[in-house]
Amino acid sequence: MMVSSNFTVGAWLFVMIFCVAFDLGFTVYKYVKKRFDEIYSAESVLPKRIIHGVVYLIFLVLAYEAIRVRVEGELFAGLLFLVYIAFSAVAFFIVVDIVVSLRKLRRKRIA
Amino acid sequence: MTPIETFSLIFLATILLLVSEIEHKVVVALLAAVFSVYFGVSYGLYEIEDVYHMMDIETVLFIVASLILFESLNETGFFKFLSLLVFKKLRLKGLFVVYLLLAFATLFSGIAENTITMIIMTEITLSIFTPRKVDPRATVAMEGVMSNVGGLLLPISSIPGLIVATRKNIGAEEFLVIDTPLIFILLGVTILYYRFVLAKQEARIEELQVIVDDPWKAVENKSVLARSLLIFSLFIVGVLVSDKLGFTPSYVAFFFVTLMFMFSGENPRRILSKISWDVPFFVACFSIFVESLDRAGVLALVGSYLEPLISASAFLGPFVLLLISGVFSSVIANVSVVLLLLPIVDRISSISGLNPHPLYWSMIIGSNIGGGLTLYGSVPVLMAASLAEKEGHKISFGLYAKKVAPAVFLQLLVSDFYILLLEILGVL
Repeated sequence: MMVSSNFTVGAWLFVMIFCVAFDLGFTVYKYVKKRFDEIYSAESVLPKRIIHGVVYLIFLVLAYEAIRVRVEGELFAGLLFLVYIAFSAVAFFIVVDIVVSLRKLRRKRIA
Repeated sequence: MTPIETFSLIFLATILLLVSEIEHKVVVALLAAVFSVYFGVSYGLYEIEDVYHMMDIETVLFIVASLILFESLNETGFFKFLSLLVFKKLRLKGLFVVYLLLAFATLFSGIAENTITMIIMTEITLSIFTPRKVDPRATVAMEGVMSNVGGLLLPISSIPGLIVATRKNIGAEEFLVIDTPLIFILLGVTILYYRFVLAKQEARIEELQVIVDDPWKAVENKSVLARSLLIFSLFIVGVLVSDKLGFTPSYVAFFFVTLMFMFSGENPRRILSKISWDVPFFVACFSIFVESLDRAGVLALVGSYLEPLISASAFLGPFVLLLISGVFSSVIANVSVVLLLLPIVDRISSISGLNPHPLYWSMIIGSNIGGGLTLYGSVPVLMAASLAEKEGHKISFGLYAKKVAPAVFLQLLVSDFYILLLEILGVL
C-alpha cells in the first residue's frame, strides 16, 4: 500500500513536472518562432533560418550544461529534470522548424 | 560534458553566427566571451581574475588610440585635399585616372583606417564617374580590394597586422621592408588586371577626366590641418622607434592622442563620437574567447588537423597557411581568423620545430587580402558596395564574383609566391 502510494505521488510529480516543463518550453518556442517569422519572412533567407535554428539548439545544450555544472547532487535532480524536459520541448519544436525549412528549401530548389 | 566538448560547441555556434551574419559581430564576440568565461571559471580552467589578462589590453588600447588619431586626421579633410591636389597637378585622363584612384586607395589605407579610406575614395570616384556616365561599380569594388592591400603597409594599417605585430613584436621597419615591395607588385598586378580585363568591358572609360577648381576647398581650417598632420607624422615616427624608447606602442599612441586633443584644435567629443568602437570591443571579447578555447584544448584539436598541411614542408607551410587564412577571411572577419590561427600556428611551430616567422607573415598577408574574395568578406569592400548602392550603383554578388574576385585570387597567388621567394632568399 505504502509502495503504491509513493508510486502514485511519484507519477503525479513526474506528470506535473513534465506538463509544466513542456508548457514552458512551448511558450519559449512560440517566442522564438515569432522572432524567426519576423526576421525570415522571405524564402531567400531560409538557409539563415536553418543556421539560426542550429545555433539555438547549441545554446540550449550549453544552457543545460551551464546549470548542470553549477548544481550537482540529488537535491537538484528534480530541478535538472524540469530544465531538461523544458529545453527538450524547445529543442523539439526548433528541430521541427529546421526540418520544415529544409523541406521548403528543397522544394524551392526543385522548382 | 567535458570542457573540450562544451568549448567545441561554443566555437561551432560562434563560427555559424559569424558566417551567417545573423547577429552583429560585436554581439557574437560578447556572447562567445560570456559563455567562455562562465564555463572556463566553472570547469576551473582559470580564475575570474585571469580574464583581464586574457583580454589583450595592450592591443586593444593601441587600436583605440590609432582609431582616434586616424579620425582626427580625416576630420581635417587631408585625404580629400591630397587626392584633389594630385589630380589637379597631374591632369590625368582616361584609364590613368583609375590607376591613380587605385593607388590612392592603397596609400590612404596604409596611413588611415580603411573604412575612412573607402568613404573618401567612393565619394571621389563617384564624383568623377557619374558626370561622364561611366559605370563606377567595378572600380569602387577594386578600390576596396586595394584598401585591403594598403593595410599591409604598417602595423597600424590593419587590425590583423596590428594584432600579430603587438603580440609577436614585429616592428614597423620589418613591415616596411617586407610589405612595401609586395604592395607595389600587387598594385601593378591589379592595374594590369584592370587594363586587360575590366577596361575592355567599359568603353566610355577613356572619356574620364578630372576637373579640379581649388583643392583647398576640402579643408575647413588650414591651421588645424597643419597641426594634425604634424602630430600624426610624429605618431608614426614614435611607433617606429617605440621599442628603442622603452615604451609600449600603446603608450606612445596615447601620448600623441593627448597632443592631438590639446594642440590640434579639433573637438575631442566629435572625434570620439566618430570612432568605430566595435573594433576594440570585438578584439577584446574575441581574445578572451580564443584564450579560453586554447585552455580547453580546442585549438590543439583544430591544430592537429591543420598541422599535417602546414608542417609538411618548411617552404610550403607558409604557402598553404596564406591560402588558408585568405579563404577563411573571405567567410568570417579577418580579425577572428588571425586571433584563432595565431595560437594554432604557435602550437604547430613548437611541435614541428618550424620557424614561426614566415607563418606570421603568411597570416598577416592572407587575412588582409583574402577578405576581398567575397563581397561580404572585408569591411572596405562592403563599405564601398553599400556607399555605391546608396548612389544607385548596386554591386551584386554575381558582378563582384565575376569581375573582382579573380583579381583577389590573383593577388593571393602572387603574395604566396612572394613569400616563397623571400624564404628562398633567406629574408624570412
